[in-house]
Formats: sequence, C-alpha cells, structure tokens
Amino acid sequence: MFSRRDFLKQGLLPVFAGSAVPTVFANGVAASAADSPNAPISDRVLVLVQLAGGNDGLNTVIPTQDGAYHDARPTLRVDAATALPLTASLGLHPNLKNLKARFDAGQLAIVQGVGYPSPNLSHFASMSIWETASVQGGIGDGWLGRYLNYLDQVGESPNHALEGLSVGPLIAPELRSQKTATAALQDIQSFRLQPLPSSGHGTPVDAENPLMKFYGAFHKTSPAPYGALLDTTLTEALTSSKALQATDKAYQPKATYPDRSPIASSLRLVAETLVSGLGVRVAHVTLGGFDNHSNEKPVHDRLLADLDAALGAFLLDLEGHGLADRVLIMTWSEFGRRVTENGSRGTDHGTAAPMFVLGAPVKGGLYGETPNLKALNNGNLQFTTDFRAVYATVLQGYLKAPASDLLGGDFGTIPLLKA
Amino acid sequence: MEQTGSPPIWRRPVTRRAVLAAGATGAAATAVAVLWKGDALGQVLNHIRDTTHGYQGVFASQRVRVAHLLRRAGFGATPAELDRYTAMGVTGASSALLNYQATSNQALEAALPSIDPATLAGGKGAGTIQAWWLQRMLQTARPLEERMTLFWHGLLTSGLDKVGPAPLFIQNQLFRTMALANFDDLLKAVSKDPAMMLYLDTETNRKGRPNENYARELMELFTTGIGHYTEDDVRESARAFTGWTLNTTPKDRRNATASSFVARYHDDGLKTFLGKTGNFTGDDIVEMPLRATAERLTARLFGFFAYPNPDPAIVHHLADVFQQNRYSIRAVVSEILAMDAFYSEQAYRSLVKSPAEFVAQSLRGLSGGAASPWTSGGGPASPSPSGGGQGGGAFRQAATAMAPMGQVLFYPPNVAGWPAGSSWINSSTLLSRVNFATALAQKAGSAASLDQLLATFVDGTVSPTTHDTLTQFAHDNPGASADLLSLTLSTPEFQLN
Repeated sequence: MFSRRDFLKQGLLPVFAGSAVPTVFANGVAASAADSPNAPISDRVLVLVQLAGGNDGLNTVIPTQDGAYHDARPTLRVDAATALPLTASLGLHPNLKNLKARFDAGQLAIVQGVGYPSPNLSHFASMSIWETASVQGGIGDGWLGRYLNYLDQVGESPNHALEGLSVGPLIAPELRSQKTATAALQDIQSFRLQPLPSSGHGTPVDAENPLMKFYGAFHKTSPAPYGALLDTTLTEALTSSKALQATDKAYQPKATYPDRSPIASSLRLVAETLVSGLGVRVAHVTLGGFDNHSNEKPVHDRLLADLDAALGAFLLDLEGHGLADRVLIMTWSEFGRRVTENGSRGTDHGTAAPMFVLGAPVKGGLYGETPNLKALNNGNLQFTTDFRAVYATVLQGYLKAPASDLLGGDFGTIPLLKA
Repeated sequence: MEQTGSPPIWRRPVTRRAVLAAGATGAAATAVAVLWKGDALGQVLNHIRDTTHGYQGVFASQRVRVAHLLRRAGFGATPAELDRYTAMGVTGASSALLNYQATSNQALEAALPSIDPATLAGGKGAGTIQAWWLQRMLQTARPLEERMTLFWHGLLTSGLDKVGPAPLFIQNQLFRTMALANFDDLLKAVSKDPAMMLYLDTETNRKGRPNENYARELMELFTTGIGHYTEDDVRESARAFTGWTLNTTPKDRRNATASSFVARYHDDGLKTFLGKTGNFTGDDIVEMPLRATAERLTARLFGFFAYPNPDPAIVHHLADVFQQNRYSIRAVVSEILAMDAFYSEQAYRSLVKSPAEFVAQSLRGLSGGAASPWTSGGGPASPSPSGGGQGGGAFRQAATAMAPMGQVLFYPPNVAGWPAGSSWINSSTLLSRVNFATALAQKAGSAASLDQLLATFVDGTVSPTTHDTLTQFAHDNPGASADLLSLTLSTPEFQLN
C-alpha cells in the first residue's frame, strides 16, 4: 500500500505531467468501465447533502390527511391535492419531482421521524451532534473523519487529501480528522498554483519549490497547532491540485445541471471528481437557507426545487458515466421545524424530521414511523428513529466499516439497502 | 489559581532580563526568534533548527511589540506607520489606538466615496459597501475602531443572504460608532437595528405571535451561551422583544434603514425570564447583568486580540473589569492591550489571519493603501476603477478576492459568524492566499529588498528554512522583487497573526 509519505513524494515528481491519470487516482475510471451491480467496497462513495438551517420536515414529507397538520399550518400547509403521493396519507412536496420518480423507481428510502434523545434546539449544538454522531457534540473528529481514519488503519486507502472532499470554502465538520487530511474545493479551475510575476518576462519562475520548502519545515519552529496544519495543508494542496488539473479536461457531464444553482454546481464538482477517479470516498455538499422563521413558503419552495433539480441531474450524470452503483446519497439537517407555524408565516426550531437515502444501492420505500402530531413535546415532534441508526446502516451495510466502533455504540440498522 | 504574593500571570512582567533568562535556560528555544542578519547566528540556527519550538525572546524588540500591537489592534502597518507608533513607545501606541476619537480621520473620509443608502438597493450595492469597508481598513487613521467594527460584525452578525446592502451599511456604521461603547447599550441599539431585525426576524415578532429567532441567538450566541437558559426563557424573552417594526413598505423590507416602536405590537404582559418576573421589554432583557455574558464576551475579546482559550484566571479578571466598569468594552480592550499576556510568547503568531486581515495587511503593508498603485486607482499596473469613487474598482477587486479564502464581508456563513482559527486553513483557501499574493505582487510590483519585505510583513522573524529559501531565491533571481513580495506574503509566517 502507498504510504502517505510515498504518496506525497510521488505527487511532487512529474508523474502528473500530461493528461495521464496517475495510478493512485485511477480507481474510478477502471470501476466505471466494469460497472458491476455490486461495486467493490473500495469504490463505494458516500455523498452527504446538508440542508443547513433546519429543514421543515413536515413540509417535505407531508402528512396530507392529518387534521392536526392542517390546523397547525394555516398559511404554510401544502395541499393534499398538490403533494406528490407516496401513500394514501403521505406525499412529497410538489417541487420534489425527481425524488418522487426515484421513489417510484425504488431508489429513494425515506426514513421518517429521525432525531435523537433530549433534542437541542440550537443550530450549532445540534449540527455538532449530527456531525460528530455524539449527543455531546463538541469539536472532535467528525463521524466520517473517523471513517477515513479507519480506512487508513486497515490500509484500505492511499490516504491522500481528496478521499474526503468538502465542496465549499470550509472543511465540513463531519470530515474533520486529526489524523487524515481532507480537502475543501470550490472549483477546479481556480485550484491551481499561479506562476510568479516574473514569469511574464521570460522563463517561468516556479513558486512551488520555495513554497514546498517553507511549508516543509515550518512545524519544526512554530508551536502547535498551526505549524503542522499549515505544512500539511500546503503540501496536500499542491499535490491534489496537480492531480485535479491532470484530469480536469476529461470530464464531460452526461446531464444538464441547472444554471445559477450553487447546490447543482457543488454536485457537478463531486461528479467530476468521481468521474475523474480521484479517489474520493466521502463528499459533502451544503444547501443553506432552511432557517425560515418568517415568510417560509417561497423560500422553502425554491430550496426544495433547487435540491430536487440538482439531485436529479447528479444521478443522471452518474448513470451516464456508469457510476450510479457506486454512489449513495444521504441528506441531513440539524433539526426539523416546530409543528405549529409562528405568527410570521414561518416556523421556529423543531426536532425530528425525515432523511433521504438515495441511489442505486438503496432499497426504496418508507422507513421508520410517520410522526404523531398529537403526541408533541413542547410543541415538537418526538423522534422515533435515532439518526445514528441511519449512520450505522450506511457505515455497516454500505461502506462495510465497523459502525459500533465508529459511532461509539450499537444503534441498530435499517434494512434500506439492497441485499 | 495564583498564590498570594505572586503576581497573576497576566501581570507578571516580561522584562528583557526575564526573556534573556528564559533564553539562557533553553538556548535552543530562543533560536526561533530569528533575525535574518548575522551569519554566525545563522550557523547556530542551522545546527539546532530541528529542535526549536516557540518564539521566546521575540518581544525583546520594541518594534516587534508595536508591530504585533498594530496587527492585533489594527490591520498591520506601513513601515512609516510602524516608525511613528514605535516612537510613541508601546504604552503611547496603545493609548493612541484606544483614544482614537482624538485622531482625525479626515483624510479617509475625504477619500471615501460618498454613499447614499437609497442607491444601494441595486445589484451593485453589495460590492459597493464591501469595497468601502476594505478601503476604511486600509486607510483609516483609527485602526482599532475599524478592528472592533469587524469584531462586532463577526459576533452580532447579519448577512447579505437575508438583508439588503443598505441596512447592512447602516449597521456597519452603528458598530463603528459604538465600537468601544458599553455592551448593554450596544445590544439595545442592535436589537432595534434594521439589519438585525431583518436577519433574525424581530421585524415580524409581534404580540400574540412571537418569533423566537432573535431571542434564541441573543442568548446562545451574543450573550450567555448554551447552558445558562432554558427553552422557556427563549420563549418568554421573545415576547419581550415584540413591538419594533421597520419603517418601510413590505415590498422594500430588505432595504429598510430605520425602525420604530409601536406600542400595540408589544406584548406588555408578564414574562418570566431567568427566574425573574415582570412586564419586561427587550431593553430590560439585555440590561440584566449576567456573569456568564461577562465571562463569555471578555474571553472572546481576549481570543480576538491575544490568543485563544485563555486561562480561567484571565477570564475572571477581565469579567470583573467588565462588570466593574458598567459593561464597558473600552475598559476591557484597554486592559487586554496592557496585559503582559498580550505580549507573551504564547500570544505571538497564535492566531490565523482571517482573509480580511490577510488582504488588508498585505495591502496596507505595501505602502499604506493610499500610495499603492493597487489601491489608489492610479499607476500603470492598476486596474481601472469601475465605480464607487477613486480606486473603487481596485478595492472591489481586493474585497472580492477574499471569497475563495473563505470570507465575504457582510456575508457571514451563518448567524454564528466566521469560525476562526484552523477553519481558515484548508487546501483550497491556502492556495487562494498564495495566488492572491501573486496577483497582488503582479499588479503592485515591488522595489523592496528582501530584508525590507521581511521587516514589514513578518517582523524579520522567520524560520531558518524560510529565510534560507528566500535568500537563495533572491540570489538565483536577481531583479525579481515582485516575486519576493509574492513569496513573502505566501510564507506560513505571514498566514499567522
């Protein structure tokens, strides 16, 4: 197995020159050619979609026949007539057309009533609980950071920066790891080192050599934690940017992603890294704007439409590249909203909400219990499925990793994956 | 924690003698405080470079102390500014920074474009106020005032995702006017500030249909923090904040610039908040003296200026100062800047520059913003101004350049503001910083020597490897001054503050 050090050394050699895909990144391309129904475990990818701000679960998966829902949402309720029916009493928000099609095709699992004991109504405390899979929250490794650490331990991974990919300017806390480097990426074109100014006047002047020296030794003289962090990060940045540049031109999307949609751009970038075979194992994208305390309807309608269009294009693109069997998509949000709408045509912070698990590896259908709007706690839904059971399902059943070790307990699993 | 008779750690003097003594007991440890001059020293450093940790002795230099002060209480300095503040001595420099009302900012005000909030509603409004604020950071004669404005923007957040540029422009001036005011006065003003009312929905918080958003974040993020209140306290205090409304039509909500109190919207019933019952208003809520707020806010201020995670004794002391001075921010900041802990080894380069600090210090260090071709809108290499007055285009460009580094002014990622520290550093943001340094050096050019660059940007204090590498580069590439500027701004040393 490649050690981290070997990888870094290798990465600095001209192995990336030209358009050849370096062998260490070649997994994806090889696997896409094979396109087996049961992708090898080492090729399986998890894509997390964060609905930041607290998605209104009741207006996403709608209890269309529930009088209590009708009464609690005088201005915000979604009409039973417009909802996309899942069962006689449940419907998807009308803007989730692609998801409805995937549900009908048996590729969307909807887990209802997901939460955790003693719910925290703070965005940040609750996000941290979901991100660390610990009801204490905190700033430790994220649950997927622990998974990446595990991959390194068992020699399952080349341990390079792109195995954990956060789309956006910051590393997603789920991927945070004290041991394993992960990358944040906004777009591939700008993710390259520009030549120094004098390059314009003749021979190119290379910044890489001095930068590698600065950032090869800074940790020795600078106190923790930033010395080591800076050294590792710059080294990983130069290495992974070269890998990306080498493969950038090869990708042609096989679906039309919506314009002017940040979530679509984010998923397109994930697709590009997967098609290019850069060794991504877990990716994280974010759609923000769900904290709708006032005037919720137009905002929430648009967000769900954006989410649906982006996921629809992403799945088509993966299918076009023969990657669909390798990719599992999971949505999460820090909490749902209060059952009864507030006086501002919005909803305040709530508790349990549904999660979507999506993709070819999924056995579609409804899981968990439909929320009981007559058994509220302080106006909030009581959870019936612990989110860590969903995590355990993905870790144990899909990624074949030891879920109870990684989650610090046994939370059971849900039979939402294909055998 | 301190024994009687021994001065508390933040008061323990760091004398030159103490520094030298520390150096003598750990010769290796002093070596990081590298001055780039002196071959003999260089040889010693080469010998022990792998074993050196820390920055002991670095503050023996008055100039380094003042440069550190200007990075923390301002946005860096030109060589001329550094000369001027160093001549005042550290105490004089702190005092000048703190008592900024005595300093005229006329030159800045004259250079700034005049902005009519009514014209900000269009698509270019966000870029206009971002460029305007960056210009202030670069050209202000009152650095601490601007620094505190950034502090309040990061704590009492509002953002362009929900609020138009005009109310954010008004709010930014509120933060500047009250930069060192009493905290309860600031909170009272912020509770009624149109941008905040829009961002956290106070504008729709009415008697009989309360909206919890502001009440919750006030407790969780702005004051006590989690663990000092209950969900009931959130619900009850939301009622107290009812009654304020925006002076605007529903269509123009996002651009509201004024608010007023309407008695019939206010819930004047009894509320029970933190164990007390009364017919409280929002002002009553923020006036309640809370020790948890005092400790949390002063710890955050200390972390903003000095170093993160201070010893509890420091926090207790600062919270005492805060409460004894009727929640005066000025008193706390003044105390922090006078602490020896502020000039301790633990403080030196203990913070990561935020993108705003990185960009502003880069530009300010060039030649004060005003004289630099990058920022003045003049000079052959400069981009042409595209609006917003003199140099607006260039300021706009520089403000925009912060985005791929992870920060957009007036657009925090969420109500908790920007996560600081290591969150600023990842492969993407760090590469963006390096590329910004190159773009800046390309546009601005440089005639400075390596020694001048190091003195201006990194106190002449870099690791032996950084120093050797730059020296070698300068030797191998004679005349590549702009490259040296780019590389200096790209050093790991300059990423830290």
